[in-house]
Amino acid sequence: MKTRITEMFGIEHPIIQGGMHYVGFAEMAAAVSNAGGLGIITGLTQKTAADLANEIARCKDMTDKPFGVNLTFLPVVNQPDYPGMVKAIIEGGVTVVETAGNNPVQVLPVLKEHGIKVIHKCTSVRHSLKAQSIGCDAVSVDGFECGGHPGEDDIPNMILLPRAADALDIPFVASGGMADGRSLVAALAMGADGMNMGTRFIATQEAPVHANVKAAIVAASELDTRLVMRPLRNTERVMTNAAVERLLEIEKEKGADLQFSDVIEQVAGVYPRIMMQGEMDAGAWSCGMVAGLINDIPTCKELIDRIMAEADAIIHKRLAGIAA
Amino acid sequence: MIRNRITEMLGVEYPVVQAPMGWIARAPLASAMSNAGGMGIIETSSGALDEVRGEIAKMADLTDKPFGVNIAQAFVRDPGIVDFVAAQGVKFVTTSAGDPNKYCAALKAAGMTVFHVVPTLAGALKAIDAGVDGLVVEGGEGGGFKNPKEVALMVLLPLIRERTEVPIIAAGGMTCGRTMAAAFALGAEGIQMGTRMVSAAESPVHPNWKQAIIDAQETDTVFLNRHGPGPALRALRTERTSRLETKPSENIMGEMKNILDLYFGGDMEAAIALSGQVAGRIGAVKPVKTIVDEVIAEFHAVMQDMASRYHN
Repeated sequence: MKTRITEMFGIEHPIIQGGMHYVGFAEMAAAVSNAGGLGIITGLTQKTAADLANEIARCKDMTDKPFGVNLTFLPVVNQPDYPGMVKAIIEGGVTVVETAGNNPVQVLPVLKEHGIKVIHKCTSVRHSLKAQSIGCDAVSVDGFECGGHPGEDDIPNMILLPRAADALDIPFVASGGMADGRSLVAALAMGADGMNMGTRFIATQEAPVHANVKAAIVAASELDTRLVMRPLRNTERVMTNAAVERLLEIEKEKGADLQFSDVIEQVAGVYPRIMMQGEMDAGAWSCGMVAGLINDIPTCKELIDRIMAEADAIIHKRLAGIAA
Repeated sequence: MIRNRITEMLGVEYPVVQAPMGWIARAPLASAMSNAGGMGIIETSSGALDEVRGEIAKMADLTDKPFGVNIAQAFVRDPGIVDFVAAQGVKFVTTSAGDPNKYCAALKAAGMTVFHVVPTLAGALKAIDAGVDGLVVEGGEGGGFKNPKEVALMVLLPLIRERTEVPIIAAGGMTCGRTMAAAFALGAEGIQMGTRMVSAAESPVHPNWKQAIIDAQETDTVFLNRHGPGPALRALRTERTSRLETKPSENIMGEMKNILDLYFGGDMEAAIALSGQVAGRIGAVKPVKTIVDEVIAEFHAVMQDMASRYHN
């Protein structure tokens, strides 16, 4: 299936695996890219630029297809070595960078100078327009359904995607609530050029995370996510567990006086314990509402092939049959 | 030409339904939708059953096409409404705001097609067990009274679709051919429009509300009263609803006391203007027939475009 996104990134299928902390290792990205999508290595999971360079090299050993690197720009005091990471990306011959958090205006010039495409993750139309105006090649439009940080507007994709289609000239992919061929066709119908998936890719054979994480996603219903840190205007959608319910109690207790330090135990430094050790109650981990639609743990190739076959059948058989 | 289980079951040209907003979904609006080829629906959630009976009776003069009635159980005190609806020759009823078992058997015994409105998977499964003919699946993005555990339509629709065989009408964010095509891709066979109908030419509400919908961006609604007491709801952001967002009320229904001053008097601060996020996509007041024609034309265009552009 050719779309503006497949042509832009040189991939076979319009499916991107977005960067996810402690999930986006070389194994994950390579499996997705080998299956015809665009895999993405999570830059900030790597401790140093040298580690990132190594991860990029490992990925190139596993796939000769295009893959990307995620750089997330956070307003933290101790900034990661962004210049070093950019250098590793350029020297590694990476062709796509997915950016998130603050807009990537600081790194755009050097990336574009080296012919690298930049896709920025946005949770609103105004952020998408800003990304377009500064020269991003594409955006990933993340609806309220998404795992991770949906922003504070709370607009699901049935509203957000058509708004993005009306507002944008650059291509965009739909993110949030994406699971299968039905989601892909819905996204295409509303004007997207493809889809980005996060939670769905965690529940795959090749995802380099503990089996407990995959099992938790499969077991979860559509009601098992929670929105935390709303009072801090840093909303995150996470899978519920004892730590998250405790976090929500603290939020209720503190009310307007809530500080990040009140909930730091539930959110800081928990990912290695969850993703690598499978300690599912260690803290809050990002998970989309889409967990309710995920019932199995296929290989990336099985998943992507299934999505494309289902999308094809919906477009050419089921929908075509209605409007005779 | 669209042929599917909804068009055949409901006896309509287009699988498009007008939502039953209290005080608003009366003969002028419902007949406009039925005459446009969709299914107009008369409301009961106003609780003003004498007026509603009058509106149902009026429909015979305004349209010879099928129309339906919504029985909003939390607001309907008189079970005699079932007999009245049957006697008027109404064949399609949606039940909502209560236990699907309450009226389903009686309505079906009276020969009616019954769909139950559900905002969750659990609700859908309960309605299926009650024996309904179909479901109206409402996503969290829609306006009106809401389930506090909002699930977006993008997830809710395919979720319910894969657990049931009955036809589904999708509600919440429906306003154009693109969203209709998306809903169909996710498993719906029809759509229900609410906010778009509130803003329609034949809608009886004050022009101030229609203009407020047109002016609204998608971020201009508020989700109120998530933790109760009383129902949660989604409405336009006004001074009143902004206050309620930061300072919740112990009696949300009390905020609706002067609802007619808003609905028909045009005082946007008099009460709460129930509206969906889709207000951000509505740019003009249009006649219902124009809306329906545009939705259907765009629906066909989107599907043809996808079929010609996207091949494996």
